[in-house]
Amino acid sequence: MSFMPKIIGGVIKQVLRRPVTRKYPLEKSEPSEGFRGRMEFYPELCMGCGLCERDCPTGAIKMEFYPNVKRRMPKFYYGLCIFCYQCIDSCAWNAIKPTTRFELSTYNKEELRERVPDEEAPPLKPRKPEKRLYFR
Amino acid sequence: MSIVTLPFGPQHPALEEPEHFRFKVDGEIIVDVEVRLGYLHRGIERLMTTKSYIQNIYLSERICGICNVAHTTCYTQTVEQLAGVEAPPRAQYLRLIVNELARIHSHLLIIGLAAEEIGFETMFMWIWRDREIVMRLMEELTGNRVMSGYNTIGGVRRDATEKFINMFKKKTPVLKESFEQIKKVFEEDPIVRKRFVDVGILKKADAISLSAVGPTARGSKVLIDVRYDDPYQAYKEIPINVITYDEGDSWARMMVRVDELFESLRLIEESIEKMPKGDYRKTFPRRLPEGESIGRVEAPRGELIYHLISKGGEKPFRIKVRTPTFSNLLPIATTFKGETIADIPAILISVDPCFCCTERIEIVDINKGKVWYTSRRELSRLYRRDQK
Amino acid sequence: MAENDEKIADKVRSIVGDRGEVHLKGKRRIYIKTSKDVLLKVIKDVIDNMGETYVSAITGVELEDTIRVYYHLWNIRSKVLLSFIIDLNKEAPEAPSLTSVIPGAMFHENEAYDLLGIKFTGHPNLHKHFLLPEDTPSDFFPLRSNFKGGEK
Repeated sequence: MSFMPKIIGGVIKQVLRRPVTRKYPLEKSEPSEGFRGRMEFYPELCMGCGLCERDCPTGAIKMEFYPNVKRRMPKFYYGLCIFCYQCIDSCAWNAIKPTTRFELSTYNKEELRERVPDEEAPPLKPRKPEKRLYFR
Repeated sequence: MSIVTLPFGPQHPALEEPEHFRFKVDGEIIVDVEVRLGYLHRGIERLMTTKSYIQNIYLSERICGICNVAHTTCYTQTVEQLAGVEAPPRAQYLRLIVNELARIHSHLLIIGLAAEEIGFETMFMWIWRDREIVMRLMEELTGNRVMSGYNTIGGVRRDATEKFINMFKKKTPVLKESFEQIKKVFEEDPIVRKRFVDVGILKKADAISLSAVGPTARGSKVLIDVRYDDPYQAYKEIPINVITYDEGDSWARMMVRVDELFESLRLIEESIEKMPKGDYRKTFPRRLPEGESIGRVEAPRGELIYHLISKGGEKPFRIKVRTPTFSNLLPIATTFKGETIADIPAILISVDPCFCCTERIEIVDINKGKVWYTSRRELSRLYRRDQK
Repeated sequence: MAENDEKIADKVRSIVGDRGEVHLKGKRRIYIKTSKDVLLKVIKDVIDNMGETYVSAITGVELEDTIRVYYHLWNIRSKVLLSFIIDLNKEAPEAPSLTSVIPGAMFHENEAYDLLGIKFTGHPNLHKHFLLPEDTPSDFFPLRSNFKGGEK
């Protein structure tokens, strides 16, 4: 019977504490800073090299040719993306940047396709790579 | 008495992953058992020959969710060995840290599930509450709670920040207290001992001749551990103690895992102190020369071996993956004979079955009440119509 | 490569004799190339002289003109991985089964038969549909190079 005070103490402590449930859609929880969420694409920084398409494991990135500005740019399909961030690692011009947004659920699959519209495509500005490429 | 056939699985509350056993029982005693695998066979070895080495990192990671760090460590180690390149020293220490953190996470999962199998649900909840601490540490280090995406060919992808090291040092006493409680329960609680002791005995000679690996073999006094026999990464510089137990029953196999928790914590503390400064990643060529290499790593469930044959170029020619549960199934199937039906979950959970590592797509239509098997080609045709 | 590995390779060379060639391929990796007729005797001699050994993996691979089988065994006392290599005829590949020497090779050989079509003589329970679903035909071997399916 020597363990009874410990059991009763433990039970009272658990009953009187604040519940740990967080009411999710009303109270948000922030992931840590390095969390791998949705990517963001900056077309003015892209060089059209195609390394992101070559290294994507699932084929979620496809390059497309824009005839009005005569350059290639990627289009993304988040339905196939596994958020591995290999495209961010492979891009030497930092044209794809990470964010921590993870609430991507939708009823319409077309919302998951991201493509720069024809009229917003900027012309190509050659410049030096900003990042070291690890796979040569 | 006549012999009755008892089918067990693939869907069953006592199993964590689908497998099918056919037990032949005489009353309550099991006389024979037949194993049927293949419910998670996905054709990964064939798929890996169609993708490049960089794309295969993420494919090998998804062979198993819980042991994903061991799979990427083994794959990147094998590819680096083929090219004759070694990862930089800081990357080797970081790989040790993430491997041991994943080992703690996996052992806590299976010990909690073992407690749930015998009905001890309070212990299950408390162990999984402490597993949350480990998952938060993984998220801080790698960016995701379970599927890490941390290893790459040539090193690791991120560095360990000051925030991670401080968080680890703050949480170490909490984890140690929790591990002490788990050890005390497993050694002294009479119900745990009654369910696990003297159940599913595997003798030492059988464990070697039937080729058991990992804690299944170490619970039967066989001293094999890849981190000790064939050291890789930073295990060459930080020695480890191999933990064995003599009894050979389910209790011994669980106690090996409980003691390994303390050992992993000690290894992480020591490697954080001794970690050298420098680069954590190196450049690596895209095209590899012709050749072969074999890589071995100690996953939480046993020895994982990758055999890579390359004919030059960007894609591998043949990769063979042999996962630990595949080797452990045969020894365990022979220990069922002579036990009662109520001992089946206790024996199965002590071998830590991870069948998604082992290898079909089976579709069940609840509305029509039909079950049919389909091929990958049909599935691709059905679900890829909208993708050009 | 440590000289410890050289000593073990020499010891294996003296056990194998002229029934095969022994190479040291890296740290703790020894390759032994033999023919399928003497394979079981060579493995038995190595195990008798070098101590307890268990089966790590059995790999089957289809090359241009042969089918090659690797038997990977790990020796516990000397801590080396011994890989025995044999080449088989591509039309009717038949290899000796390791289950008479090390019973633990049962599942590994069954997987090689199911996915590649290599028959192992002396295996207690060689059957198809070990990993593949039951409605696949009996000559359906996914890892052969003439298998069509899966690629876009």
